[in-house]
Amino acid sequence: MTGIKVCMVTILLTIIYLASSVFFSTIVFNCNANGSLIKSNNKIIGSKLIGQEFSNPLYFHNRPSLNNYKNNISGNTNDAYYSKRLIENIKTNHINHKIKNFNSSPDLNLISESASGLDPDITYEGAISQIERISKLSGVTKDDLIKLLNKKAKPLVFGISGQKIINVLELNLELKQLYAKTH
Amino acid sequence: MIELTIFIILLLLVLIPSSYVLGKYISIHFLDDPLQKKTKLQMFFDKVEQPIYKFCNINPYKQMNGFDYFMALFSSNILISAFSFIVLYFQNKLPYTGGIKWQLDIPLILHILSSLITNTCQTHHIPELHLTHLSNYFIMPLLMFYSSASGIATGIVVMRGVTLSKIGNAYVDVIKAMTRILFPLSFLLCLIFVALGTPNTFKTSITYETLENIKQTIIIGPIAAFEAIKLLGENGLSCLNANSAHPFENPSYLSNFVQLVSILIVPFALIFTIGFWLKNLKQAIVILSVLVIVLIFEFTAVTYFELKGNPLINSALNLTSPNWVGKETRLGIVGSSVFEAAVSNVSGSANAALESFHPIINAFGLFNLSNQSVFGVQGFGTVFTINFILYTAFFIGLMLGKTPEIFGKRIEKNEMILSSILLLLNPLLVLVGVILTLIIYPDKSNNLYEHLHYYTQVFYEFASGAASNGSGLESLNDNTPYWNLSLATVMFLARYGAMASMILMGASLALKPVRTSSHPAFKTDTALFGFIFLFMSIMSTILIYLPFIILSPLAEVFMHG
Repeated sequence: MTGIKVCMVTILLTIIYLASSVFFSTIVFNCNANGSLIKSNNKIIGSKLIGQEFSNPLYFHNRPSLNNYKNNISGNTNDAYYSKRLIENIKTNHINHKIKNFNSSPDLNLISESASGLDPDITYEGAISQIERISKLSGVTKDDLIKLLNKKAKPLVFGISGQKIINVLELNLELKQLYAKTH
Repeated sequence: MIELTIFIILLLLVLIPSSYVLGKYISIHFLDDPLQKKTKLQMFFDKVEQPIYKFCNINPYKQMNGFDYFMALFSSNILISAFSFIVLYFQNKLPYTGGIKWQLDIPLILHILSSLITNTCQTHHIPELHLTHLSNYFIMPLLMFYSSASGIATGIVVMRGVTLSKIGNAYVDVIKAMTRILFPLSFLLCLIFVALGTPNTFKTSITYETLENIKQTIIIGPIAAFEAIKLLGENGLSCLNANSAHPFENPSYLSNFVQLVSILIVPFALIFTIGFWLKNLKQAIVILSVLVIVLIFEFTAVTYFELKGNPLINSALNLTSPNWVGKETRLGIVGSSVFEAAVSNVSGSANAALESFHPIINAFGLFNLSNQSVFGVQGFGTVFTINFILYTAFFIGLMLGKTPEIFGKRIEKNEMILSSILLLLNPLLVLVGVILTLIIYPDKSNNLYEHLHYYTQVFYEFASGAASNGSGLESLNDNTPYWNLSLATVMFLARYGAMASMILMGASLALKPVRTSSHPAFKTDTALFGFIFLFMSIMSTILIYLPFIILSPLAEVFMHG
């Protein structure tokens, strides 16, 4: 009997915990608690944290993803370290990237899958390897693009030092504004 | 490597003071010394718990014996699983589904329940596909809280038995573990995670059109609340399939750091508690430094191999890149490697794809899963540490020709039998499981590497189940009735077999008088003892597992370099 009652108390405590934590976090950090959504012209266009699929050559592209950045199931292909499939996939991605980007070589980050399949960031080097394509197709000069990259790049380690990484959605939003100005 | 050094220093700087405070807190609250004046916090919690005890008909002053203690934990574990079974089975008829209408089959439900209530949290299901929001965000935290509290209670019993002469009351310990440790700390952690960007809401999904006008749906929920207990309770279950790699669960480098701290804080604190109860903090520092040295060694080794990169990829593409495959950009190589090394000891969550790590990391993982004493899973890990200390003391006592004793308590036949059961239960379940699986489902490919890797996967799956850890090599296709049922059995037997022998061992030690002599046969709080303890712990694991570890991940490394 005591066992059943202890279970009932646990159920009650869990409900209180869930309700109060959601209540407080919605009050104190409303934006974060609702998924850090980004709005453009009062329309939600994405979340700062979730990567999106970009196929338009005028935008910067994300890393490859198993589910093409569809959020219904996160995850990756889980190929083993030495498996043939992993090496073949990465080789294919490398060749595809070179074809699309006028022969500029990417870093490994940009041609390998992330663990979640929703990685919102790429490395600075990965972004640089896409500049050739974007500049040639859109007419924006390389210098302007590099300026944009430098503005958006953040250091990896606690945002203080280390390798630079860039949030692709935020970068592309800026790029969109840049296109709107020039055209 | 500079990043790693800074990371480790920061981690220890945060962990050691905070776990010292938590250890002191646990030592006061779980002792209830009638001679000492109660602190204000104690009186506050006493007032909160009084109506709970009254409602449940618990007499908090009543001591239990070992068997009753175990039966109380075991039966309440079963009861709460039975309740969860009903909810999971009828999940698509209950409200708050979040658009998911999946009818779970019974083997999968049994696996989910067994893995949650044993604090293993091995995931064969895909949360976004198989679980409604009610199951995922209410039943899972409920089970995680209870299993973690049961783990802490088990740890506390053995710690009390070794250091004091008291057993305690199972229900009181479980309720205290929840009201005084898990709920308040989870609440705090939850708010920290939300501040760092994790969503926490009762909405189920958000749909929008992306920059390129593609429809994208984000699944959302009380993720921060889930994360807090997942990490603090060392459960490691994912509420989204990618686990801590998902940007919502782990939004930044800093949040990754906080996650690591919250995984390690309770096991660190429990070691300090032993020191406080023995009134010998030096003892706690000796144990802790041995464990921390092992942990730092693993951090460094994993990071070294990941920074070196995958030789096959690097030579094929003519690169010298670290291994980015299956890692998140914002967490970085070091953040992912350190996390992976820590969780293979402790929790079973993951912030990168374990498959994409160098196989030597799987060898470390298998070592940790069989050793279980380097912090280990909530409460149980501390007991395994104590178990190896017991072994070391026994060994030294025999070498010196003195009566073996631990902290002034004699080690006799009864304790040694129970502690040997504890040591041998894990290999028995793992090796029998692996052999049966390889006979029933042999690998059908003709490639030697695939054979070896299949063996690694099967071995890892059973080892993580038996160690209540729950990590796994995910390309194993494991959501089948065979895998679900076999692992549910292994997890259940490993957890409750260990729990029973732990509690009986603690109870048997608690009844022994403490012999305080001014000249003990040997001191247990010296660096020499720490060294022998480390040696014993490594040797006994290697003696059992090394042949099998060489056959699987190490053979993969030897094949490719």
